[in-house]
Amino acid sequence: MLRKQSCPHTLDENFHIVYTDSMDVFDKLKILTDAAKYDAACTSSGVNRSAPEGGIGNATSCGICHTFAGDGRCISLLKILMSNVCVYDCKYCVNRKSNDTPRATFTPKEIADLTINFYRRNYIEGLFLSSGVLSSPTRTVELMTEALRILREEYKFYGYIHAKAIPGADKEAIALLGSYADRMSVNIELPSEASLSSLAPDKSKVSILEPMGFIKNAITTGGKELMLPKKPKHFAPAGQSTQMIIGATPETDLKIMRLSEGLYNRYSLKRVFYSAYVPVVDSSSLPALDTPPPLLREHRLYQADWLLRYYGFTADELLDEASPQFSRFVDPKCGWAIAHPEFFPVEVNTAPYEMLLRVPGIGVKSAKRIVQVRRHTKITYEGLRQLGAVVKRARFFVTCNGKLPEGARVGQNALPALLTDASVTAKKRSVQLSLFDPADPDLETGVSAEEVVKCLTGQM
Amino acid sequence: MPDGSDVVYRYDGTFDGFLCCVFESVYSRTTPADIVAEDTLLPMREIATDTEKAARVANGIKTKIHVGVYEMVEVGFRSNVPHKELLLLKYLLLGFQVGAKVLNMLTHEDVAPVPYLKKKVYDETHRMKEFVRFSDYDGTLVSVIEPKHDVLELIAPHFSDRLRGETFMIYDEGRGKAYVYDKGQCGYIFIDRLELPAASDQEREFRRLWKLFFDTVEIQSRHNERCQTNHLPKFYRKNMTEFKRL
Repeated sequence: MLRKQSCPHTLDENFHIVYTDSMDVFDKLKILTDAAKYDAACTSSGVNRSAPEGGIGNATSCGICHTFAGDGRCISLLKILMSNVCVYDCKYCVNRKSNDTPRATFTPKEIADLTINFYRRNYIEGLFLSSGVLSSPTRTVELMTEALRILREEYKFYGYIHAKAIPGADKEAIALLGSYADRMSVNIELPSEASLSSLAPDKSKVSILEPMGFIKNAITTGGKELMLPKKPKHFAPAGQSTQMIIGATPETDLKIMRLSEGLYNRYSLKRVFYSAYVPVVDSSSLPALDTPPPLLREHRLYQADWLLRYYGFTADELLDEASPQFSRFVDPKCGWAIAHPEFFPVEVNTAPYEMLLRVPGIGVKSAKRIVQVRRHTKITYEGLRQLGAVVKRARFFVTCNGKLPEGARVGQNALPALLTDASVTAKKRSVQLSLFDPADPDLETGVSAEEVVKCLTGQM
Repeated sequence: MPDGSDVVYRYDGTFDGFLCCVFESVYSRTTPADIVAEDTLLPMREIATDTEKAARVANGIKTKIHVGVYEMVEVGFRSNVPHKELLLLKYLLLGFQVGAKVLNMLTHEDVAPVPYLKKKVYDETHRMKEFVRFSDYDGTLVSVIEPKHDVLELIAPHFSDRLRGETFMIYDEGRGKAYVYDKGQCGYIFIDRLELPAASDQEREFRRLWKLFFDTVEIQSRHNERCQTNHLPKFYRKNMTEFKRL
């Protein structure tokens, strides 16, 4: 039951929003949650804060996931659009102007009321607010800011707020929005300028990177030199993040990882989110409507993203022009270890921390424990297991007191089969791996039939 | 040094009572076969709880071993792991022997199980901060929880900070105790059975809205119940609004 292009509001002569729709909050929430759910950002992390006298709310820097949806994703914030009316026509987006879908718009007070009442009941840590573009990016940001202002100044809310900056909005508008928010983000959307101009011509590379640069500077200076009515206490203290859609366009994993690396280095982002493309509109420039989302590819990208941020890897170490896609069968860290036998085996009792981190099966926590314990005791194979390392994987890459653990002396060729991700081989729907039929999007974008054969026979 | 012994210590189940068992073991130079809070058929020695003695032991742990060891034991004691008392006692006896070094001896058989207890308790503390759900009864927020480990005292400060201007209660149904907070005043009370009034229209409306949000925000093509259950075990869903039938 779709409404034909109904617009739930108009603008009066002063460009103030006049709500013409009498839809109740329940119906609005349904439409505007549905419209917001493809934005992958979900954390409430990055800030530690308590409310002062008269205030309500706090923030915990590790983030708090209040519940988990049926798709397994964490829910920590009330994630909604202010409005799914949009003047843009981005081809991949369910809210694009030319799409026939029910439209709704929250008033700023409705947003603030929902947030504070959910918050009091401990359903959420705070608000994640984005929006379709109403008349202009700047006007949209101003309306979003009003919702945040009510929360912060009238309801004295000190919980978490993540606000999306709309590409193309004025700096002043973004500055005011950021002074109320904990985290801000501008979505990169697609991993290349070419894809962006083909699928989202209303958003240009400049209109996205410019606010990112502006936000980065404002965060660094704490918003002190911004022209704001009141000097803010801080500016987006939980930093900036972004998101890109994976699988809608043909960029390789290498290109995506180089882009992420550049964004982390140049814009000091806290997180890059990768969102597996879920077809919601029919278009000749996009994958078919029945294409399942490339979840394994998204998983590999997150694994690689962690390697960049916590394990000291660079994008060019993990992939190169000859193999620009991550393996379906082994995770990126294992892939690197297999391809670089010259660095192994690593002696756990003497190797530097940075090298311990590169051993498959040894994570950040285990590596820190190893360093802590080996000051007092020699670590044995059994000790390594007790410290939390996944010895089943690590045994091929380490020595303990110069000795290789039992069963670890294997040929280089056997390693891939022994280190294959168990979850990849044990797929629920038993697909006969055909050499000729790339029905699975992960196979399509990743590995060639030849590589599949090589991997299974241990030749890779 | 403490010898093995066939005696089982019986105590009152409280942390102070446990510290008195530690006192007994150290000064009698014996390690009991077990420490229990109920009757057994084995030869038992009744250990009385003396808060002064307990305080001396606590102080001794902090000064002679390490403050971190005290935290490990105090938190680990809240777990529901069987024979936790004996595990913690052996850990402490080793600690009195070698001092602060015991914190790093993670591969020693008397040390290895202990951080695991602390982890279980802190993990549940974090989960309770996530899964506690309040209902508004005429301005007072009430939550019912059933944690496996005794974490009420550990989550109380978080909620006092978060809801500082509010009036609320968190009731641990399994243990019959509740934390009550009223705009800065707080304390613990014991309640056998909690009877709550019917929810107001407004309260029911917000529950309905939350359930709607929860059901809608899922991306159907990514449905993954196993992933959801890994993060949110079914055990915790009993008191969570979004999983109740309204």
